[in-house]
Amino acid sequence: MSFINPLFLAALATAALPILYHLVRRIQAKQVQFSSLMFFKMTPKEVVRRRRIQHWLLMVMRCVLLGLLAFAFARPFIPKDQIPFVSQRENESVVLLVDNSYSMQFVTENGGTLLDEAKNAAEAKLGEAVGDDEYSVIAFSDKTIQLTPLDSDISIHNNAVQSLVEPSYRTTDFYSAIRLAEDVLGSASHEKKRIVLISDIQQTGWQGAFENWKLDADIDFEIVHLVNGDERENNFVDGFSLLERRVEGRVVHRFNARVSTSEEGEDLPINTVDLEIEGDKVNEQRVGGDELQRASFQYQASREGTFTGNVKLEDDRLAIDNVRYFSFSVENKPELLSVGGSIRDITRDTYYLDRAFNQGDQALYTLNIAGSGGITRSSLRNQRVVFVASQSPTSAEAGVLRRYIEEGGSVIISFDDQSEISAYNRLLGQLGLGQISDVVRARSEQGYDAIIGDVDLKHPVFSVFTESGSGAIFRPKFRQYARVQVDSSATVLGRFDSGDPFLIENELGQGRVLLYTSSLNPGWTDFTINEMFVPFLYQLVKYALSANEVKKEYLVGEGVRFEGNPGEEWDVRGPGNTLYKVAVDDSGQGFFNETDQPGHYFAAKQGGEQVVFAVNVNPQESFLASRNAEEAYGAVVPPPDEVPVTVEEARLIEIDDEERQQKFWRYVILLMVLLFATETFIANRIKK
Amino acid sequence: MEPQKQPALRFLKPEVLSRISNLQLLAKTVVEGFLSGLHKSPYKGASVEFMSYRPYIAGDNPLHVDWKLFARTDRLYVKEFEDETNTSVNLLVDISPSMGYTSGEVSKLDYAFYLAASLGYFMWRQQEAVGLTLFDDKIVQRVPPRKASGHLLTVLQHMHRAELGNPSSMGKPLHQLAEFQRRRGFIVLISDLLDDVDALIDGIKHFRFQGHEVLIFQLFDPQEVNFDFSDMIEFEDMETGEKMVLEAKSAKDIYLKNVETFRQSVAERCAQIGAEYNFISTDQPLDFALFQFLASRIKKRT
Repeated sequence: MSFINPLFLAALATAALPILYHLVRRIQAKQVQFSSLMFFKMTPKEVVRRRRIQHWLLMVMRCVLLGLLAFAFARPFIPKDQIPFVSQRENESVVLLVDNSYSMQFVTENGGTLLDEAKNAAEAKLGEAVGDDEYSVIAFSDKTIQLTPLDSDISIHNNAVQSLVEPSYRTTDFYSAIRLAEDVLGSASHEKKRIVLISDIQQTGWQGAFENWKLDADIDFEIVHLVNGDERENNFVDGFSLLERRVEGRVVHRFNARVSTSEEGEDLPINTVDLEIEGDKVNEQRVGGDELQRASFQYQASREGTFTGNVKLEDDRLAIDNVRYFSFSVENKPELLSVGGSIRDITRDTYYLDRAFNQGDQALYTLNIAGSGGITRSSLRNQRVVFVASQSPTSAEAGVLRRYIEEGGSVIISFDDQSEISAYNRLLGQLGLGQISDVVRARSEQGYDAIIGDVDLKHPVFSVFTESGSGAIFRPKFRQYARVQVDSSATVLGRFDSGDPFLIENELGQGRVLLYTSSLNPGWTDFTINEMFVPFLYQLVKYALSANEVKKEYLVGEGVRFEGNPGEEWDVRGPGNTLYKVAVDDSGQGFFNETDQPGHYFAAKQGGEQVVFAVNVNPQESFLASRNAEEAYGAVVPPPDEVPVTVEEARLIEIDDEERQQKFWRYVILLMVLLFATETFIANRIKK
Repeated sequence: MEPQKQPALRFLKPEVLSRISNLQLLAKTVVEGFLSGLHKSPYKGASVEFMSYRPYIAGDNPLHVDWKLFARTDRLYVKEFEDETNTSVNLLVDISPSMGYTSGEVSKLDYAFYLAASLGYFMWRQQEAVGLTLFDDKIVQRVPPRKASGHLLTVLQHMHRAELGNPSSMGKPLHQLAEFQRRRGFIVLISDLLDDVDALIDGIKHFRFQGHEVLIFQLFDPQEVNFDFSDMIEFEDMETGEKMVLEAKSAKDIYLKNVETFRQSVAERCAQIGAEYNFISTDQPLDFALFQFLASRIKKRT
């Protein structure tokens, strides 16, 4: 037997009140002075004694009355599983959601991880199964895997929890997990359904569509909140940047690592950051306290080629996020080709390109000049970017350029007075950029020179304007520009204040073409002599070069795109020498999605050059603050009036329902009434 | 005759009297009220009762000659009156601690003094000598009977100053007083008589032996008469200090029975020795006691 309000059982002690009252009354008899006791001395005491025995009978009844009252208030009930000959509780379908995001690898005070505790909690839940209860186990992070289908064979689930729930390096996404669990319960055999979330319920994992979605009201939701006391300090590499510079012909790399702690408002503990290149520790730096939170290293490679490296913090309870992997290449300066014009003719673009890129030992690029007719397959070989500035390409040259782009090259097209509109239209048509309608003289058309009006300042090409202060972008004035009707395949990156395109982009195959609608010489604009011009050119080239670069840094779980010819295969070797094959499909792309572990990945086509990229954990998961369990519960379940706030309250309501069905207290009160009537009757008789 | 059945009597309740602090005024109020209730002039009282005429003989006081009769008959006759002034009344008031008991406003001792004062006043008006004796286990205060005009005030002052004394033991003081009071008179004993009956009767016998008329008023508080207690009560004997815890309702029947037995025993034994016994509850008007006193005096004369 159980009780809804067991505290009331303490009131059973009140059953002793009549006895206590009697005793106190005897002890504290009223004191009265009386003239003489001479008339009492003959009182036979046995008469009194007999009356007391009758009072004791009443007293027992009163004691029982009070006891029953306390008993009724305690609201007794017999739990269903204790009622003989009555079936056990209703069978239910349960989905266990086990969080295996990398925050669950936090080492607890017991020496195990939170994931170990999660597994134990899952096994404990499986241990509650009775009858035909069916369970399903889902492991989730931002990747959700149903390990077992709904099945009443508990041993399957126990095995899955032990052997299939593995630590991952991914972030947490509760929304996907709970949605999957809800879907799984869609095929449940039992009417009663429940989702059990076993997790550290990190705040960062709740960024889903919970505001617009709630769990089906028929499904119970339970949270097993795994916490490790108040000790949730975690240091991690929050950000990383790599800058390349050429100093006197040498390539120097600068690595900046920002270190954070998950304790909000706390100073970063003193920590040592190691820099490892190609497996060797090459430098270290101390950060922390109220001073530095950023470690900066400079490294000069002794050879050309690709390098792997990492920055690493001292180990703490969550070590996964203490390492940041990266890779970088040291190679010859990329070669650029300017077709047409002369470095001595100040009216032609080539002159200004030469002035911009020919920086001697510190030059990042080598600018080559080709004369008229220089657009051939052989002349374009090894050229990374081609400027078509002072040349009106022929139809054949346009074809060569298209093929060059498709194979990974990049082309930047600009105008000047000598540009033939028809030839340019042919070229622009070939490259899917659009058609020139006319050359605009801004002053004659709108009364004043055009300026750059509408650009996406977050685009890398225009980032120079954001760094140079407000208003810089409005200073260049454009007297003339070519008005282009843009093809649908092309993208306008910026417009003049008149609304006409300023910079247009199109991607063809593995390469990229950029169309700058004014001149790179002062003929049409004063931009060429503006301080922003050279940085703009460098950004333009850098952006053009990035077209066929393989991205070098990814987050765990992020897809990697490889390009190649249809049918080609990329071999990818991940951490632990795991080998993967990625096939290039008909669109010339192959996708690699097995970035499940942080570390370096080496990819190469057969006979091709090796590409190295690094995969890191998402530092978002490193902020270990948990969400309030009640809050989390409220985020998932619909908010009808009597939805319990916590799991404990849900259990209490269940117990309350059981008690309401039995209503033992009514029988107890009835018994009390009968007893009270009997007591009254006897008391009256005694009195008479 | 029960006083409550006398419609002619105007009752003055003891509680009302208790508000009169002056005993003389109280006594006067009671007595005048009592007498007017009898529809008789207080100035035609029995103090100068005419008995008969007899012929004058030499030596008789010429003041007693009825000169009006001599004028009519020309013979000398002398009026004969009852010798009232030869009677003295001694009021014996028990001041033992049990007399201090009260369940209301008037204790037995208060009532005893009201009664004694009223009787004293009554006697004083009759030109009789009035004395007072306060006793517990001994004679505490004794004012011999006198007829002097200011004597009543002295008696009343002694009552006014009186306090409760020692536990009573009536035998000894009664015998002592009987020795002092050799001249025949009226002994009025006012007490709750909560003492040894044999010793009490012995003492009264001594008075009777001396030729005194003895009138006994046994005073009981209404609570002593009815015993309306309930619950467990620890009773403390006001005489001895002895304590006894009793279930009051359980003890009531026994108590009442014992009281009744005691009263009957006292009454019977008083009757045997010719003493007048009266039982009075202190919630009864004083008129009743005065009536008893008067009846007793009339009985004595007849």
